Amino acid sequence: MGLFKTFSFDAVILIVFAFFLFMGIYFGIRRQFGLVLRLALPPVILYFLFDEFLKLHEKTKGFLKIRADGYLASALFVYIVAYLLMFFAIGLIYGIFKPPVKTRIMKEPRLFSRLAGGAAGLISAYFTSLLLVFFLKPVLGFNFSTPLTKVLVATDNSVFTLSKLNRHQYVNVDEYLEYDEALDLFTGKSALDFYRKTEAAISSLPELEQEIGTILPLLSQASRNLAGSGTLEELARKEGGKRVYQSILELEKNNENYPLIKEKLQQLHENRAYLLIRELLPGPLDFPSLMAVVSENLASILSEFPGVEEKKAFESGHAAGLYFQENGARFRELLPQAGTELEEHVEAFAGLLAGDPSEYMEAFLEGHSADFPELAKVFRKYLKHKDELANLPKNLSLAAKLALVERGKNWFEDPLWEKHSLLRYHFFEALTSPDNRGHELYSEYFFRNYLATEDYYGFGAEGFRACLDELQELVEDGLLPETVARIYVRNLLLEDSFLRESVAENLSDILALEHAYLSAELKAELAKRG
Amino acid sequence: MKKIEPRYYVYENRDGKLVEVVPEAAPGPAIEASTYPFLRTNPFLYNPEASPLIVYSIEDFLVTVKKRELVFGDVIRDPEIPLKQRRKIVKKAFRNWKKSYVKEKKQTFSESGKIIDVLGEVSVLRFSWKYKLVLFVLFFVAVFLVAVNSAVWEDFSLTKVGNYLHGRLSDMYATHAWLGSVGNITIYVILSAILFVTVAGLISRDYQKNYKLTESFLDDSERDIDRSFKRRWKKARKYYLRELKNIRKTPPLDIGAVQEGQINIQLFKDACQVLLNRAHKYKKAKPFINGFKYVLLSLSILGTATLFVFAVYEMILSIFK
Repeated sequence: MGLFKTFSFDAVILIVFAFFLFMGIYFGIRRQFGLVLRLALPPVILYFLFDEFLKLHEKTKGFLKIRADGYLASALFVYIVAYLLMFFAIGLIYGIFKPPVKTRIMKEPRLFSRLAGGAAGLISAYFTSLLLVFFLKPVLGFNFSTPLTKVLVATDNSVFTLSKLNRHQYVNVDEYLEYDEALDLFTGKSALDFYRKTEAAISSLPELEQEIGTILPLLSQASRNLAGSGTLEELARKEGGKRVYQSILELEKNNENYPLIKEKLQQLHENRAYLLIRELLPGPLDFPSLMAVVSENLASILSEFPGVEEKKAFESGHAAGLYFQENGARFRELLPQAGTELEEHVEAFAGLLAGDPSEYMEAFLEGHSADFPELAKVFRKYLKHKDELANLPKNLSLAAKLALVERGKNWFEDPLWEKHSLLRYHFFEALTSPDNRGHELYSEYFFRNYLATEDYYGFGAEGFRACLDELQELVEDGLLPETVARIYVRNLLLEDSFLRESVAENLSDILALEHAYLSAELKAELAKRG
Repeated sequence: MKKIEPRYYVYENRDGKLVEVVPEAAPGPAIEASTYPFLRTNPFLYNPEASPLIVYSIEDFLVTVKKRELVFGDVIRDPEIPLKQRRKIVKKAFRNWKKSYVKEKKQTFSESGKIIDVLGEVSVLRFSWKYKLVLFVLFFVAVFLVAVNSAVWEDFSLTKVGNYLHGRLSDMYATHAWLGSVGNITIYVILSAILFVTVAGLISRDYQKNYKLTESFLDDSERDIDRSFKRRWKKARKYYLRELKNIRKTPPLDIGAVQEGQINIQLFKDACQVLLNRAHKYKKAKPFINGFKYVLLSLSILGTATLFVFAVYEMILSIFK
């Protein structure tokens, strides 16, 4: 049973190959060759004519279009429909060249035909597996590191564009997320982010208390009685199975200032977990005391989060903190100059990765590879591609570099996504939709490889304008549509992106910039978020 | 009286002339004894591809004249036999050949018809859309219960219901680790079942298509064979009756004019035999296909049901926690 403990796509590949081999041997070469043609020819034709199909799709807009902003969905839809049409058309055409009825009736496939059919069956199995790996990945969530799957995925090629899309959409992204997580845990960045986010939330509580204080006079007498002194603790206290602020909201439904009251109390609702942490903290907030309090009261703190997403993020942040506490000292053994405090640790290890960490990695692999398999995998990959990595854009994160380095040519020398519409549409989707799993990786790649190619440490307003001008030029050159560019800029500034830290210091200057991509609405939103 | 040696002529197709065949060695018996049985057969059933003896003309075949077996060519070319009698012999020979051909044809057609009728009763395995639907539903349920780390689950678990279910399933796999293996095996089995149904369906469809093709081929052949025989028989008979007066100057009718064509009775028999063999093989394989079908379906249902029951159990437990 141990063999089946984790789902392996290798088993699916074996099953598919076994069935197609049998089919090839049973039916002989003629029929199996037909299947090979039907599976293999459409991608070749689509490689050359997919743009024409897309144009046709554009002409029939409204009929085939699935979603206005669903770049990948509509491109994939066109690809699949075209593929299926060609699959059946080739089958029909191939059917014309049948042997005479007498031969079909009288002759069974001979040995050679069966052997050749078996071989052709394996080719069909290969194409079917490539299709299955693409379509089953989102529902089965297997990894690509098992032997057969690894080989299958490594045979991706731009002619069979779906296999490339598989790499762009899943393989690279899985690797990036895996490396990013491992490296952030290693450098302590995840732990520091968790600490900073918690610290920021806790330190914003007095301000929230003040703001809520301003709405207390607007409340009815009954609500004011419930609110008592009006402290956050008082408002969040449970009374009769309900929180006080929830009862107030019910009482004030007819209040003319209800929207304002709701907005403020909603903020309290969202910060209840941090309020509880503040209550539990024995003294001033620091990383060790935060970890001690959270570890002791994790279940009750998690239950205070209103949303699942926030709960999960907090849980994984706490896990990162624990990881740092458990392993930080071991990592520092090989980097004695690193300080023991979290910030010092992060600074030292981020510096290490920004320079040449090969020596550290080699020493680490010698002593710790068995205890940290994920990290060992990252370090091994780094050492394997050390020379190529040195030629990639300097400011690209190490995780992104490692994810893209294996097919570096397809990204940095002769970018494939620029040439193939299916890949381009996926790329647009990744740039514009923060829900896309590849959003972080490809946003960063696009920014570092196309917009800000020079070595820099922070962004002044002028630097940012230069990036926007560069983007404008790319739009004018037809590399990407203007709508994509606009949404991309918006996401860069509003989402929790790799860039926010770099621009944070000069945000006011950036807000003062006049540029087509910095709309008044975007600036207002930015100013509101501070 | 001086004995006149028989002289043999062969009609040379290239020049359109009669050429006398001169025996190379000392003249022996005109026909070897071993060839007699074959030459007693019907020239209209002659098939150059299957025949053990090469025959050049219809005149090489034997006919019975007054209880004596004689070579057809010798009889009709014998100047000593009066024309009227030779005419009778020709008519009788052709009548006999027709009779024997029709008998052979009827026998073959009737046997083949029976075979086709019986084979038509061999039921073809069908995989109903319900069976396929069940497999696909099982696949999606199993994937839903097993692949809790997939991208789809990642999104779904951000909803309240999704998060609750994800939590219960994670608890279930943490408490009963073996269920993970059961789930993975179930997915492999369901995928195998889907592929199996596809392949077995193709085999069944192929068999049925082949049966129908053979059936219509044999129907068409029956007509062709009939028509072709009538044409050849009439032509050959007319040829001899018309030329009998002048027979010594008339070349023997080439065997090609009477022999069976591409579609012939033998082919008819062979096609039936091939169909029979196929049906036999298919019938032999059917219990295995059927058995395998039910084994795969049962395992798929069992695996999915196990996961489902444990998931529900975990949900019930969570109410009391």
